[in-house]
Amino acid sequence: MIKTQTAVPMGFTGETFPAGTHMCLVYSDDAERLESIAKFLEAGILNNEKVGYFADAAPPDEIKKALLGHMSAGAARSDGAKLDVRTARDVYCPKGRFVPGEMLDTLRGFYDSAVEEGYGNARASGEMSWALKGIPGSDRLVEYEALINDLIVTHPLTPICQYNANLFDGATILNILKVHPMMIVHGQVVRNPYYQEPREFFKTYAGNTR
Amino acid sequence: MDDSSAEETRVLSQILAAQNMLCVFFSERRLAEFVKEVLRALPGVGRAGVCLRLLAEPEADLGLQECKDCAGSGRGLDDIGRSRGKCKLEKQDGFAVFPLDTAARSYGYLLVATEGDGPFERYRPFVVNFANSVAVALENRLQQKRLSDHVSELERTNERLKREIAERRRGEETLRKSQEQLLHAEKLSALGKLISSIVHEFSSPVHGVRGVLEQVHEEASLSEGIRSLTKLGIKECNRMSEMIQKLRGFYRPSAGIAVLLDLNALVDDMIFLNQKKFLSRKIQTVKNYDPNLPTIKGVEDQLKQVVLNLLQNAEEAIPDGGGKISVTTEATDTVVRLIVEDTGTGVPPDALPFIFDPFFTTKPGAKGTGLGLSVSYGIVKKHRGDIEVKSRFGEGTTFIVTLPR
Ligand SMILES: Nc1ncnc2c1ncn2[C@@H]1O[C@H](COP(=O)(O)OP(=O)(O)OP(=O)(O)O)[C@@H](O)[C@H]1O
Ligand SMILES: [Mg+2]
Repeated sequence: MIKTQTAVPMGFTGETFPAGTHMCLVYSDDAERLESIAKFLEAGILNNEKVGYFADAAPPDEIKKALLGHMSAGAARSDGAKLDVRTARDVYCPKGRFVPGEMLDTLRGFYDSAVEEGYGNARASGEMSWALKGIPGSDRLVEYEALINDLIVTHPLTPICQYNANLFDGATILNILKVHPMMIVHGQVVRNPYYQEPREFFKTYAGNTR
Repeated sequence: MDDSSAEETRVLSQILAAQNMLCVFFSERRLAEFVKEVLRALPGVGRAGVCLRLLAEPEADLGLQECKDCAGSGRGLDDIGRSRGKCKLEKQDGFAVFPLDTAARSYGYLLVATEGDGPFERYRPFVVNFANSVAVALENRLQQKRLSDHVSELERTNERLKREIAERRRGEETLRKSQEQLLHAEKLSALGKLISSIVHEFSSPVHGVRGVLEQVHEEASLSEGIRSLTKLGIKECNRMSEMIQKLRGFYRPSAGIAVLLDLNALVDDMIFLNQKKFLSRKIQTVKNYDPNLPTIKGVEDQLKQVVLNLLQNAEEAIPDGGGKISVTTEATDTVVRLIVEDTGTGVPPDALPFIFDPFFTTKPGAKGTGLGLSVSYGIVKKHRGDIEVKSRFGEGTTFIVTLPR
């Protein structure tokens, strides 16, 4: 089993962070987002991690091409095959409905398979805009995000959840900030002062339905 | 650090983080929502929450909405005093106002409901700072919008220019083509006029001369020698009027009636007529006739003229050592094609654009009049067909006549 405190490179700077750092990327500039995420994924590929990507803004093929285009030639050529890009909807809502517990199981499975397959670690990134398409259960998105913080204690995969600031409403964005201990701002990983431990968060979140 | 200063630090860092995130929003509506959420989360903010009001400024056109509480209340937004008492928020005991100003202008203000003189007061300076950042973010949005408007305006102009240039090019091209056609038609009609006047001027005198000769020829007293001369004279007169008729035929062949024709047979006849000449010049003929060639509608003698001209040109292009003329017929769903290919000298590249012009010839002396192709072109066009040439100088020439089925 991988030690929880392994430090992994994020790709944004030379800095490393503990594996299992749950991050969000709130963005509006798509080119900037792709660049940041490509760096993050590339760092994973080069660090012998299992890398997953869940695409919503465009078909997986297109996104994969765009991501590889942002990677260094070497990484893109030799390890492009390792970049597993799937449709976000199929991953988050395989039965046409979003169930946080099931998705957490999926992430656990993803991490366990990485270990079995001999990878050093695992990381994933998802475009969360699927949650705005009226799929049943989408309203449990923030709850799910909070629960990831518990999951990574036992299964320290490194996720980046992507939120388009022009699609999600202000209240959701603020709640998203509350459940991600780290966030990416201008290509830097920074501690998120809005972050609340899951238990703390759920104290107020349950009644917070505005 | 005591509890309150720890909380102050936490709130300050949150506001700073939020301030940092303002630039992430491109949509003003989302920006406003976020700003309101951030302020609502501050300690000491009353239940009525936060209202973000923008000065109604058509020029700004930020597309921002008033807060839910104020929306549709019909209040002017430029005067706090006048709107007092109408907003749910303003009815609270306390509220704080934060102008959204930049050095350049004022964008509006934030109203924040406060609980008495309670804890909010401690954060007031942070919020002032935050409001300034919001104003800057709004200004940036506005500038980005203007810029992108400007850019798209430029792009539109650019597109329009490109279109205009392309249109003008097309226009020039059609003009050039029609001028060429006009020129060609003019040449043809000038020639037509010339010929009809020649025909007219010549035919009656020739007719007269022949009449005279015929009368002389009938004279019993003529010696055999003289009689054979008058006979020759009459014969030559006949030949002359025949030639005159033919000349007329070139330019006024309208009398010709279109009938169903077997192009293969027509071509074969013309080759046959030239066979003797071809043999003497060591020219081999290769016939590739499409056995299933459909009949076409055309004026027989005119099309014969075309084939004859092409065969003659081919023959004349082949040097003394001999060569080959290949004649091919073929059909598609819509057209029938006749292809005459020779292994002659080819057309000099600089002559190629002119070969269909009347009187254009490269043949020395009186050998060529330069009418063959021009006449052929006219005939083929009249048949709603087309005639094309491909030539490699020094290697040979191919003429392709396309006629509608
Ligand atoms: N098969 C060919 N090979 C090479 N040049 C050709 C051929 N056909 C036509 N040309 C060129 O095109 C010119 C024009 O041809 P066109 O038949 O109109 O006139 P011509 O043959 O010169 O004279 P005419 O046909 O009136 O006796 C020719 O002088 C020659 O230069
Ligand atoms: Mg000729």
